[in-house]
Amino acid sequence: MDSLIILKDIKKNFGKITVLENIDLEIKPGEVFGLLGLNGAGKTTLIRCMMKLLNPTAGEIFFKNRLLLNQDIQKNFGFLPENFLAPANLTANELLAIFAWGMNLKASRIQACLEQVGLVEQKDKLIKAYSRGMVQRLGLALVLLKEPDILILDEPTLGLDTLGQAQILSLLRELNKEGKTIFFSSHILAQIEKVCHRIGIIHQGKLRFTGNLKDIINKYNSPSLEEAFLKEVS
Amino acid sequence: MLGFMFFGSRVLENKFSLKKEEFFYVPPLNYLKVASGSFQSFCADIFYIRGILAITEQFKDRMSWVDWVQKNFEVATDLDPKLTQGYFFAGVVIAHGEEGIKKGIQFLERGLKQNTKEWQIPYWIGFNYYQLGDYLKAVEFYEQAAHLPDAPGFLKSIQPMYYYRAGRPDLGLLYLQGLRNSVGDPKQLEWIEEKLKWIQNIVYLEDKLKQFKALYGYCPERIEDLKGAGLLEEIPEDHFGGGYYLDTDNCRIKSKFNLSQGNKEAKSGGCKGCE
Amino acid sequence: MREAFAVAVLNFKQGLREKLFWGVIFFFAFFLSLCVLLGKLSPGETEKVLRNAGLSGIELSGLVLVVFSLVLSFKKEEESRFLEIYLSNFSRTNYLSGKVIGYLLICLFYLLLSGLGYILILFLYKSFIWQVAAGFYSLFLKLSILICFSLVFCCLFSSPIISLFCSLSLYLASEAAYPALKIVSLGPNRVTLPLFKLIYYLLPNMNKLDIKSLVVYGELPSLSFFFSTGLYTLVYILFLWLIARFIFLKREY
Repeated sequence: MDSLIILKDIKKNFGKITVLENIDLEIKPGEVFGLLGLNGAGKTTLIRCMMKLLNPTAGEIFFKNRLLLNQDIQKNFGFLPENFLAPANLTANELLAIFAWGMNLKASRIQACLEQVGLVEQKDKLIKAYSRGMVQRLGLALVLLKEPDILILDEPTLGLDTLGQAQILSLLRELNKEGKTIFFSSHILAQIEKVCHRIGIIHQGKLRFTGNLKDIINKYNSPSLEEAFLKEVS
Repeated sequence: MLGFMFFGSRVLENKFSLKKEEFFYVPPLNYLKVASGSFQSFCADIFYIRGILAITEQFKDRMSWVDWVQKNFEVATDLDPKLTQGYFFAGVVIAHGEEGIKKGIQFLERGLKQNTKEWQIPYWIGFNYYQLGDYLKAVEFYEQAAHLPDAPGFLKSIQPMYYYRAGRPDLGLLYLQGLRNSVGDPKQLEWIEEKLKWIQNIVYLEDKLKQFKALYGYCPERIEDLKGAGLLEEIPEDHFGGGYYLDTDNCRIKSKFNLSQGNKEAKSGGCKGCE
Repeated sequence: MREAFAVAVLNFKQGLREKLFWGVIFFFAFFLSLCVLLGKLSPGETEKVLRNAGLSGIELSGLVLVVFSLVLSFKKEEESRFLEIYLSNFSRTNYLSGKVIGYLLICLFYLLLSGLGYILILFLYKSFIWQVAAGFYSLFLKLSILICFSLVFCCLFSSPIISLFCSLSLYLASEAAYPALKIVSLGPNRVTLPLFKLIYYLLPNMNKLDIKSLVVYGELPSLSFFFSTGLYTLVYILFLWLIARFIFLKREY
């Protein structure tokens, strides 16, 4: 199967500090890929390079076997950044309606997205009255509005309670069943275990491992992903 | 607590109050222009208000007060030459006494250079000269005012009176003759003709007076002496003032029109109208 | 273009619901009462002072509104990562265009609201003349240029304080440029004068755009003035937008 996204030898420096080094990564269509790493490992930087918010110092990113362009991102990628906050003085309905209009989408997409994330009843409340979980779900609704093929989510469950996390993960499973490719980063191993087909472990800017869960557990002969992860990063 | 605050502030005011004059400062105009930018007109308004409030200030020395008020209005009118009322306050309202009126005239003449379109400014200069008793100068500025846009009609008609008061009724006569040629309205023409006749009579009587003085070497005691000397048959009728008479102090023909207005002497007689 | 208008509408709606917007409206209402007081303190020139103070107040409050609102919203979008949502759905060019259009709309709306209050007060105090409405046109042009300058500074600097400071300083400099040039031209200095001339022509000619001192006296410039100042502002805004775009395309988030 051809990879959907290929990162080839990605390097990113901020001045003299190297944040990413020799990152080679492939994301296959229809899979859920989890990027694991400690705080400051380079997960967000890598995601931003993929979203062309940052320009890699070296390396290239391919999408469907050609160089990734801004138009590809706008058409095919749905991105939810870490710690996202929506404009407080709008309602979910207004926000989605304006985005839908701007992207020339049908108005029916708004209701469909709100239903999918479970925000139909709160759609006319101002966003400033939303809980953290509701804001995160609203972010997902925004992401899903244009029905992208790929979802890039940076720590989608950050700051959520157990129920909130479970809801998000359940939604990701559903979306994957619909055929969406999902790439998300997290430092919570339990989430990765539940949802991902393949994982990548990034540590100190280097991609230390890519493969499925069984591969890493077998590599270290560990009883759990947690132990295997800790051995990988130590 | 309140009592302490009250008495405390009284003590502070009495012990440490500084002379107000030390705070009276007007920034240099150049700096104001730079600082105010396109808000020059608004800045002018602020100084205009400051000038108005300055009029209410108490100064020991009157001329210092005039200087202070004029400084503020000077800035206001420099920043916005169209602030006509600023010229009025600084040039007329606060102009009292000979020195004050002269300062007022100076201020207004400066304003006239900045604002050449407002009829009020030369009119106020003329008014100030009138107060000083310099009728010729007054009429010069009234004439200037009369030719500016929106000038009221009375500016044209009062000039002959001031020529007369300046002791130059002949100029008043010439002026009225010129005015008659420029007016078309029948009522106005009628009025000009009456005034013309009145001033012609004065010129005629003054001429007879000159002849009497040339003949006898002294000024007659009464106007009737001219008739007695055979220089005229009848004393003309005065339709405006109720009769012509001889002012023996100045040896001049006058109309009883003067007496009801008070006696304002010609410039040579000094500023009797001043306070 | 649709994307740009979507961003514009979002910014417009958000901007109108901000506390800053209503704070400025409230402040202006208070300022109007001050204008009435200033009018009362100006016997003989009451109407002129009332008109002038009102227009000046609208300009200054409008300046505070557009500059602070734009800079703070830009920073907020950066910090809340909402900017990244924008950039993943819309092009950077359209985002910037939408930002400019949105804030021009906020500016227009503010001028409309404040103008209504101002005209009402003028009617109440029998000081209204229709020419003051033309003054709003020049205010809009001036504020439009300030909006674009603020956008340039937001793209250039990551610190909102620096962006605010630069925007306000630029406004002061462009206001002071013409009188400063006049003063310098009186002196014999051969080095300073060309430099001042260059600065004056680079900065927006606020003195040329401003007609407050005319309209308060019921005078109006010619029709060609409105056309030429409108064109000048449009070209200037376009130039600033291009600079902002150039910087923004290269910026990393």
